[in-house]
Amino acid sequence: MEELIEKLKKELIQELNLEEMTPEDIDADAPLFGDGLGLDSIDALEIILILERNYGIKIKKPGEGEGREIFRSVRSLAEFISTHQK
Amino acid sequence: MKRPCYINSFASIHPDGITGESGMLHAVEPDYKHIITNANMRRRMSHIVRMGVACGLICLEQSGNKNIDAIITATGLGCLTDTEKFLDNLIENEEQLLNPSAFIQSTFNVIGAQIALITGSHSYNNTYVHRGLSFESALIDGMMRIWEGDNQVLIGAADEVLPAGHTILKRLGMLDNIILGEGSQFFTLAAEKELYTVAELAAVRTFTGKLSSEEMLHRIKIFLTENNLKSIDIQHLIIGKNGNTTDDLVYNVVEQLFPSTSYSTFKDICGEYPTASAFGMWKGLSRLEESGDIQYLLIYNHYYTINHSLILLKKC
Amino acid sequence: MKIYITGTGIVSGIGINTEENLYAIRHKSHGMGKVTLFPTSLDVPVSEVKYTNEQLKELLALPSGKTYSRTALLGILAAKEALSDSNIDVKAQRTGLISSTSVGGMDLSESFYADFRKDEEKGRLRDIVSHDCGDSTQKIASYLGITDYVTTISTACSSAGNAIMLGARMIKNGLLDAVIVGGTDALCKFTLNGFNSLMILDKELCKPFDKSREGLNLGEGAGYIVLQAENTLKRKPYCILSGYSNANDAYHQTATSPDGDGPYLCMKEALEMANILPRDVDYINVHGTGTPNNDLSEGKAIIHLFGEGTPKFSSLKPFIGHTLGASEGIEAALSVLSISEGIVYPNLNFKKPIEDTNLIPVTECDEGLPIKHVLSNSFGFGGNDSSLLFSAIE
Repeated sequence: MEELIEKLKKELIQELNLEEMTPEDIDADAPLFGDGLGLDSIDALEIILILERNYGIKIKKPGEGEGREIFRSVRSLAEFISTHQK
Repeated sequence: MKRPCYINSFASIHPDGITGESGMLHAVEPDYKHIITNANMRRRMSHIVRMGVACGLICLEQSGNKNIDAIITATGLGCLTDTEKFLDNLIENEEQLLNPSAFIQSTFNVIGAQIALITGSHSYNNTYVHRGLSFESALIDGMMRIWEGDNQVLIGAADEVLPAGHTILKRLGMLDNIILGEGSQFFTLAAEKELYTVAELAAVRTFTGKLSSEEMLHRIKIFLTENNLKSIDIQHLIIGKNGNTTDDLVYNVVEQLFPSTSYSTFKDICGEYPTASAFGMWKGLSRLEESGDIQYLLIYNHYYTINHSLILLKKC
Repeated sequence: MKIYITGTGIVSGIGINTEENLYAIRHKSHGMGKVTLFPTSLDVPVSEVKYTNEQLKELLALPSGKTYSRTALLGILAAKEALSDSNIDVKAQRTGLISSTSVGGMDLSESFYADFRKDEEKGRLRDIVSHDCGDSTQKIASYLGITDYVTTISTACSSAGNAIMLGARMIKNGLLDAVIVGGTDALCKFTLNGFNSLMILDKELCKPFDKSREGLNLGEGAGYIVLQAENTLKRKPYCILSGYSNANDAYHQTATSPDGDGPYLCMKEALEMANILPRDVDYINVHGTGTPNNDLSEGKAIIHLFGEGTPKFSSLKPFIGHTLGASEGIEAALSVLSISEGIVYPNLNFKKPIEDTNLIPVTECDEGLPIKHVLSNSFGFGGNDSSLLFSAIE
């Protein structure tokens, strides 16, 4: 799980262009949206692409119901991936 | 009687006149971290957006007045980097799993929109994208806003160079002795002048079409008359010579209309691009700021002999 | 000073001129279908103008050997109709053209780029020279012989609204006497994929203001109106442009603020400028794209402004799609005709209202109504919002 979290952090930094951030700067349990990393709805779309491109998981709508929980933090994303990855 | 339009601050991010290895003039950029402090917004911004937004914010800071009644921006070619990025993505990935950021950042009004977001400004916001007259269109809109009652209007332009752009223009035969450039300039127009106000934007006029030198001379004479001036009243002329001997001919003819006027060029520093006249105006204002003996300064520029513009500055 | 509207020109997926568009609307006949203009794997409904570029050139008597972007062709056709409708001679007074576009010549550039990126010596040069936004505007101006003032605005979906506003202001400020204003956009792969990447396209026909709406359908077309000062009129005008407003939502790059602050401000200012009360508005041509975000925000803004007295309203986008830079040009022209014909247009594909706002649009075409004031909205990316108010001549 920790390996996946590290990998995810690197992917987020790259895809979301989080300049000057290193994996150490990202708290795995901190909120991704709103507070914490302060991502927005466009980032949510980019994360959906990461899930599909890198992990083969398709999510249709960002941030609805179950979707919201998945996107809460890096850890929740990692947990979702490890249970759903093809 | 129309209200005067004072230029209370002006800022620029531009090249230093030294052509890079690419054969183009690239802007000398500041450290954006200290100007665009919101990292989340900054990370999405491409080169042109950073230049434009930073320049706009610097200009606003210099004006000392945080209240913006209008934000009007201009660009000739828009966000080429992001356009190219999205196109590459589209083709490579065959329309699958495309990143939305590049698409969003490629829209022409993104600079004005980002400045509005950062400053929380709900006011009038517009963007002009009309070749060599994009900047002048923004100026005319800004002047009208002042006449209509606005107190402070932020007006600016930005264009960027891209290697692909260079290659294409070369293939089109449009780079004969011409160096491409880029940059961003912003100005605040205001209804009231401050102690530090350098000049008034007295008049702007644009013409489109392949005009002969005689035709252009004729139109400049009419422009001067409309502004109750004669050619001897213009103490300094700034012209948009870009190095192409044929296209530059008209400037030689125009110079003859002002035999006792000093003149200078600007594209040797910033290069040729659709909104280069904004740098011409910035240079004019810098000149007015330094020199005590210029009352009227005229900027005449054309973009590939089709878009012509006259910008008249009056020292305060 | 009153600004009169004296001409309309519309080209869309439901008609090649104003008459055809009105006919289609009256018969509830939409222009949606599959993408045929370019190869794509995206299977979404779009509203294409039912003419090829060659056919458009023929209609305009343009040389078939010369290359024109589709955006330019659509624009020339619509602007030509508007000018002809106004009965003016462009040389008889100071005449301007203010056009808007978001696509520009991208329909051609994207073909060029596909070849160019593999080999920089490849790609037909004539396909890249129309790339910039100013190209279509200049082509229209040259075709119609307009030289006094020509410029291009590009602020995404609100572009044409801003073009119309600028035209009115230039007349009021004494810089022009007559001006053709509006916008044009062709469908292209870049834009279709751009919107798809934002996940805001509906795979079915769009359902503006409906509870189950899923997104928008793109369209293409061009729409222009002619604005004139009173002393230059050459025919009985349709109505006047009594109010307008441009405001920025300043909330997010693509989403509108949940309460629709920008839209609310915009509509309010347009009414204040015209000195009319919300209850005097007879019909609203809403932006109504069919996206979950727009329709909810716009709905909230409408309720905030109109309260219990929300007038009849409908979205034209189920007919013609979201035509982006052309949308407010086409929809303003139809709003003008709403007054002159006394007609309100149906909002197709509506079944159930959005729960939070409970607003119900007009679903049948209704004619012979005393329409005195029509409000037309367009809200775009970058938070760029615009509203126009058209009023009957007293």
